[in-house]
Amino acid sequence: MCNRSRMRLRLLAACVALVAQESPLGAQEIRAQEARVDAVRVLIQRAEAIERVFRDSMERATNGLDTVLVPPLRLLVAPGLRSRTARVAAPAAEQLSRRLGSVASQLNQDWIVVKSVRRDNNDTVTLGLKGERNGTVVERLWGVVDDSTLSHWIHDNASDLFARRLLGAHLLAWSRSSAGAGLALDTVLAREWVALRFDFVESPTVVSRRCFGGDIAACMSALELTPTSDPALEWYDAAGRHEYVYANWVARAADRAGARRCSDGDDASCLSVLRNLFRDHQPHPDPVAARMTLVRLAVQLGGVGAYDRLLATTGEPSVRLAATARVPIDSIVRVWLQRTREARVASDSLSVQIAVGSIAWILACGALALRSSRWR
Amino acid sequence: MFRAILVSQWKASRGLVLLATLVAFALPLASLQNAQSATNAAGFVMSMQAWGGFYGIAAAGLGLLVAMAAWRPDHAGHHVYALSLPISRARYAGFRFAAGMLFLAPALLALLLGAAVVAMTGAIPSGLHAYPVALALRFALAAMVAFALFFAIASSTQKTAGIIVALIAGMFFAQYLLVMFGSDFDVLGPLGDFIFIRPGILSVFSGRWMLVDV
Repeated sequence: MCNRSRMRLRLLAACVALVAQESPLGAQEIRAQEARVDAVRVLIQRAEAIERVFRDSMERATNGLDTVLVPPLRLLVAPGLRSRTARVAAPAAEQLSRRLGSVASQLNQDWIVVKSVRRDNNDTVTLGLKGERNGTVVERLWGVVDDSTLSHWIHDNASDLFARRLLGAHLLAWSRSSAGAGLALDTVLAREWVALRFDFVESPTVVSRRCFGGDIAACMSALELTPTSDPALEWYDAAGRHEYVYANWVARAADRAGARRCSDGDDASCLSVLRNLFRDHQPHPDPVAARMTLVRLAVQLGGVGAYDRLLATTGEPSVRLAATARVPIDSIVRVWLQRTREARVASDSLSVQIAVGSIAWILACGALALRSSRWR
Repeated sequence: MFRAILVSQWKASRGLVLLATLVAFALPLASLQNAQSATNAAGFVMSMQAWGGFYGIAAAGLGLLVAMAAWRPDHAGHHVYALSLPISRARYAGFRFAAGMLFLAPALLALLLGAAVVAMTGAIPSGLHAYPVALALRFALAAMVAFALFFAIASSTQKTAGIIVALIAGMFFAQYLLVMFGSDFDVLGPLGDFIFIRPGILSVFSGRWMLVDV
């Protein structure tokens, strides 16, 4: 423990020393400093991994938990739940292996913890995750849990762990996702496409609206799959720039005179204010859910081995997604746009059930009326 | 014979049929007018959904009034005209039923026309879809169910109508007594489910009535 603490202190001191440097640096020096920061980050990650293993050992020893391996899953289980958990985890593990392919093996880098709420009763359980979000109990169910529920529970939480690990390691910066949140492993549902459509229709950026209108190049720009040199000019039209400056107090505070001229209708001033603002606070033009749906679509198009290719490929997100789906990136975006525009949720107004039920009641009431008496 | 009944029934129904036709045509246009104040597509759909209840009310009102009008001449004339005709009671009631169904048609066509006008105005936000035919068909089914139900009640004897009313009142009274005595037994809930949840007789009225949806 003491060695570990000293190591962490040294790492911290190194970080502080790096940050404290005030003299302007040349490009070569910046690269050298970045390399040092990366090296420090690797050391910190190793230290955290050691600490995690240590805490896992302590918890197993303290709480008397057993380790149950149901490849690719690794579970920490209360002794009384050992056989039951092994039984119900098997179908979840099989389903995950089938869906994820060989990369499912990465699931065993995290722990799924299944405990009893009471020592004398194994019917009521809690399920937690230990891994990147160390020790966080993400779900808790009070009451009797049947095997099917527990199996689904294990499957869903393992999927969540995988999604976080996948994005955390590969697409986190581009995806704009908070540690992989929103990357479900399932096919995108019609209602999700419809919600995305709403977001695009109401987007403040002209590039997103053009994308929804069918412009694939605009979609590539909106999804930041192609580089943009001047976002203030390319993503917003004059009305959008004016609205952005009007609604954004940071922009107004940074350049009051320019913001005033912008509010008077001077688009050049709006452009200038936004260009200054976007140096530090560049917005994202597309809706938050858009990139998640694109990743899920690429995986769906890619079929067997899609996750393997996503993890194995390096380079820009567009290259990774193309490798995942095994089709060019513009083809993925075209399919994605088509689904965004055309996905339909069945109308509630009329269904076969409503029609058949109504006709039956009309006939029944009509028959009753025909049998009414002449004598009243 | 059917033509004679059709003409006599039309005289009793024409005023309300014309009024219902105007209302049915105006409903989709009024809902569009109201929804246009929405600032986004989601607000547009919500506004359209809020107007959905009016379609059900209009269909129920249309069915009720046309059914009452179908039997009004007989009630007013103490059924002398019906008794004087050389046809069976069932055949007579069948003619009245068919005539009433025909009188629903103008309002149904007016609603379809109004909904089609809304769909073709181009005022629907991009990304949303209009369902004029589905809405008009549902309106037709709801109006016909209401008509058939009230036609059957109106064709029955006063004694039968009294029994139906007494049964409904009895249900409410029983529920009141149960609550008074602290019982959790729910009488009206299952009854409401039986009537309004599929395949209940009034289930066509429940749920969302959407002219414009995602």
